[in-house]
Amino acid sequence: MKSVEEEGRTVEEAKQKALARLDVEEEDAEIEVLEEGSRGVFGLGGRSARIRATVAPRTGVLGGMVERLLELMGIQGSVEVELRDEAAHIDIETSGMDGLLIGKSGATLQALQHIVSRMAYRQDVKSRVVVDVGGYRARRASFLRKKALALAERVKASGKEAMMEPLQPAERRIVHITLNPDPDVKTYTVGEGAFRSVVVAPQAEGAEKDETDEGESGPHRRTWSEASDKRASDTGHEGGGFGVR
Amino acid sequence: MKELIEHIARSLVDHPEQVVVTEVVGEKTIVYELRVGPGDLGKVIGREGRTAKSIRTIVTAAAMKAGKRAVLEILE
Repeated sequence: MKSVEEEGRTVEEAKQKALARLDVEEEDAEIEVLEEGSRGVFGLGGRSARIRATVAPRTGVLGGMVERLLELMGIQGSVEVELRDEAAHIDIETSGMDGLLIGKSGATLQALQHIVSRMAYRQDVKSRVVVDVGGYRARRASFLRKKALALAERVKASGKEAMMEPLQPAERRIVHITLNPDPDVKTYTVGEGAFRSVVVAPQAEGAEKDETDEGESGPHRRTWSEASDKRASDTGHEGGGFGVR
Repeated sequence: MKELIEHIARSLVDHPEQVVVTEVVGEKTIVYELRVGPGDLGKVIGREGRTAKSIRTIVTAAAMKAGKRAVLEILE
C-alpha cells in the first residue's frame, strides 16, 4: 500500500501536503500522527508536526461486501480488491464455482457487479467497481476481438452487414475499438437495453471513415466513445449509423 | 437463500428494518417474496428494472448451487 510521510507546522498542514502528494481525498487515506509538533517559544525550539498517510480507499469495505455475498450464496472463494485505472477491481477466485458466478455470457457476473456497485454507492464508496471472476473479463475481451475480426472478414467478403450477439457496453466498446483501424468496415450500435449490439458494415466505396460524419452530428448521432451506460438517453438511436472515430 | 435476499435488499434501501422476505415452498420451486417499505420499491427495482433483474440472477445462481429452483417476487 502506498504511503508517504510529511512534515508541516501543524498536523493539518502535514496532512494536506501528504494527501496532495498521494493525490487522494482524505476519506481514502489513513492518517497516522507521528509527531504532534509544538510551536516553541518566540519561534525557537518549535518542532514540526509529522504524519504518515497511507492510501486506503476503503477497499476493505468492498472486499468484505463481496465476501459476505459469496458466503450467503454458499460459494467459497477468495476476494481481492485493487485500485487500477480509477476503478476498484474486485477479483474473485473460487474453487470450481467460477462458471456459476460468471453465468451465460457473463450475466451473473454483470448482476453481481451491478449489486456491488449499488451497495458500494450507498456505503459512500463512489469509485467505479469492476467485478471479475477467475480472469473472465480478459478472456472474454480476447474472444470478442477474435470474433469481431472474423466477422469483419466475412462482411468484406460478402459485402453485407453482420451483427454481433447482444453485448454489454464495455464489450461493444471492445468491438468498436478492434475494428476502428480497419478502413474497409464501419461499426455502429443497434437495439435497446439488453439487446444492444454492434453491427459491422462494409465501408462505402470512397467514403471517408471519420470526418465526413462529424459535420452532420445531429441529436441522434453519437460516437461509440460516449456509449457508456447511459441507457436513459438511448431512445431514438436505433438504426442510425453512428460515426466511429 | 432467504438471508441472501434480505442482505442484498437491506443494503440497498433506506429502511432496512422494513425489509421482509417470506418463503413459499412449492413442489419444485421455492418462491421468495420480498417486501420493502413504502418508497423503497424503486431502490430494489432500479432503473429499467436492472437492480431487480440483478438480484434475481444472483438468486438463481445461488439456488443452482444448492440444487434448487428459486423465484423472487418483489412486492411493496
